[in-house]
Amino acid sequence: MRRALAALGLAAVLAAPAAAGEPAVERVLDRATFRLGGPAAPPPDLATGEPVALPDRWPERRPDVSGVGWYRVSFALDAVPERPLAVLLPHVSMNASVWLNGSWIGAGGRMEPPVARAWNRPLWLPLPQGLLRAGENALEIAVVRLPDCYGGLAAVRVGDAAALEAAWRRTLLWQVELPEAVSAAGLVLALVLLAFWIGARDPVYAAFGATTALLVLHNLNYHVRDVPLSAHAWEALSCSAIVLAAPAFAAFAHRMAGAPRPRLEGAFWALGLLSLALFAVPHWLLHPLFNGLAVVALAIAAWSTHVLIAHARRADRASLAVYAVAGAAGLAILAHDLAVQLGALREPVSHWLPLALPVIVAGYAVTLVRRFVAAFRRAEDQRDALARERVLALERERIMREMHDGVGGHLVRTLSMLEGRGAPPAELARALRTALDDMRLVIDSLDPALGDLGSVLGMVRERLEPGLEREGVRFEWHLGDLPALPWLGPEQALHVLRILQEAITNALRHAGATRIRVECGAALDGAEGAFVAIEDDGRGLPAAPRPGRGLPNLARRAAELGGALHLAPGRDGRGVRVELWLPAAGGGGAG
Amino acid sequence: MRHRVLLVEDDDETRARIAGAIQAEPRLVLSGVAATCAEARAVLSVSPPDVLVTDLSLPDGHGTELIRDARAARPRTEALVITVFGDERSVVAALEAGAAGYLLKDGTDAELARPILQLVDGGSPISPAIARHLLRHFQRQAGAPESARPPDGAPALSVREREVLELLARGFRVGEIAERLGISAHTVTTHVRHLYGKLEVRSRGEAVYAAMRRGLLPGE
Repeated sequence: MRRALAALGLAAVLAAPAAAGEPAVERVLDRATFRLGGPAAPPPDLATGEPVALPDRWPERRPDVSGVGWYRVSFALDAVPERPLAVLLPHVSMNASVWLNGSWIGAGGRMEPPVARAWNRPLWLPLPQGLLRAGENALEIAVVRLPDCYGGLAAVRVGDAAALEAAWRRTLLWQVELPEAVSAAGLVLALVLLAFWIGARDPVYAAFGATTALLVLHNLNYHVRDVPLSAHAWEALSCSAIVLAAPAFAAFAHRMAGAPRPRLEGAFWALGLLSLALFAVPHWLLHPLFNGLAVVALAIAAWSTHVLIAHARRADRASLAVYAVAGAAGLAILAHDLAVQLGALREPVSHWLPLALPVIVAGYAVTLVRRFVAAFRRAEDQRDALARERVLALERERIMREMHDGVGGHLVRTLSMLEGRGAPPAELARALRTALDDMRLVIDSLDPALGDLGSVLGMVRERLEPGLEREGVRFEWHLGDLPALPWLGPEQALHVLRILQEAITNALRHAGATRIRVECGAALDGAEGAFVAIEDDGRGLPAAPRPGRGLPNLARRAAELGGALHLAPGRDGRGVRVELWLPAAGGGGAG
Repeated sequence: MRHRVLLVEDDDETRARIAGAIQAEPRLVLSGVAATCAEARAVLSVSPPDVLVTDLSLPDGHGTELIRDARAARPRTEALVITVFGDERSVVAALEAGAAGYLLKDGTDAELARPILQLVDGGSPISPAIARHLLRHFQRQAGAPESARPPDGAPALSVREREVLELLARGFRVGEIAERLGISAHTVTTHVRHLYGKLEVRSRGEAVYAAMRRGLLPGE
């Protein structure tokens, strides 16, 4: 198994304060006698067993032996102390069961298969006062080694129960509880990434999700104690998980860099899947094979980090910083743990991966978030660009239509006037002027300054007054204050222009008016809006309305804008008053 | 007293028509015609007119340059531009160069002569379209960042000037505005002339400022 002597635990224990008052009991028991035996009870001849020094490492002293081995350590007490004592086993592998002076006082879990995996958990047991005696006291410790795993016992500490318990809890926090939290968080992250992948359909999320999930699976080994699998299966699972995390990470790196390399990734996956052989190989081959695969996995991780950094150099400085830090940290931690694994580090040190994992994963997760946000913004920009293009396309279409129907129509009519019946030049000139006026009208409607009804009225007067004056008709301009019509865009302005122009031209042509009075203001009765009134002093409405005036057409046009047209006799009973009402909101209607 | 008009127009038919309209007006005399900037400059240097009537797009240059040069040489020269549509860009560019209005190419003789007569009578021809363009132009200037404005740029619209412009944009004639605001028609026209002046000064100022920034002129 792994050499995971808790340096932290030892340091904590050494720092434990002594009990006040009576002389503190503080023993580090590092000499023991050893015998193999069964899990049920200590072997009777344990006291005369093989002398060993603690820490005792089975792969060194008895490499091919597995099963239960017993250690006997002893300590002397002047008297049974008042304050309670306890024993702390900072490290044992795979699990231990403890007897004090011939009585069993506790264990770290199951000692029989499936053996509790207590290799990463210090064992703290109170020493019952009733079992202690003055003089020599003996602890007999059964340690079970699994065939595929490490086995061993570190030096045992006996001392003040409270102090040892505090040290025990500190060690437990760092070695077990925090990795538990890391696993939980990693699981949540993997699920979130799964959701992203389902939503965004981008394989980069699946790749990173797989990497995280596999790392979590491997991380379980640091804190899970009772597994329903055989030790061999669990070892194989944990080892293959971290080996397979490497090709998953490579897939993530290639996709982040935007250059998937299917053949290279296939080769990586093939290497990674070799780790499934761990399930089938004999137990003595498991760790050597794993060590080899771990070196390959580290190489793949290094390659992936290189890909990410090379990509980030071209991208932006923030990403580069994240990748450099997370990548360097990740590789350093993996290399360290691999060295621990291979026994290259002589000093007892623990694995760093469980606690470093969140930092590394968070670093890469940040880059994913930035990528997602960038993609989101791009999509928004594209949507805006499309909206703009659509608006432009509609405008273009409208102008083309106006040209075609308006000016085009006028010119065709003028041509037929000339070629068809040889109309006199004066008439032709008038027709061409009308065409020119209409084109000016269209161009005027495109004027962005034309935002309100007042400007539209100004335009009407400017365009029509010369023609009116030629016929000896004058305007009476009585404009009031107008409310804003937010829906009045170029197209709508053109409609209003045309309606007013037609109403005025009608008054001129059919009614024989001499004065045209134009009023406007806020609609006073009924709905909110604006009204424009065109009143002439001409012949007035015929008794039976004839279609000649084209008023139904005007009414229809007004309705298209969401407004309405009213007819009434003029103020002195003479002439006609045409009132156009336009709504304050929701006008415009169909273009 | 007959006022001298120089006509610059490259299209032969249009030139003939406008020339005819000017000749038909007893108070005006056509002191010269030109079809290119070069020809126009020759005439300007020899016998400067009272009113310069010019097309905007000429084969060897732009009408606004002619206007600027003519008014720089002799500030009392008035100018009008000839345009087909009277659209914002042409009008504002002309006004900035120092013109005081425009003629529509297809007008009748009377319609062509009227703005020229208004000018020589001391008026400032203006239309709802010009008023609209000016309102928008001054609005944009007011919204421009500090750094984009020349340091000695002319101030924005005064309250009265804005009032006058808005009424003009809505179609009121000078006389009607005078009645409505309780001032004389002459005052209204003076406001308009001041506005044109602001436009020209600002535009000239901007050209100087831009030249200074490019290091072409000694600055402060």
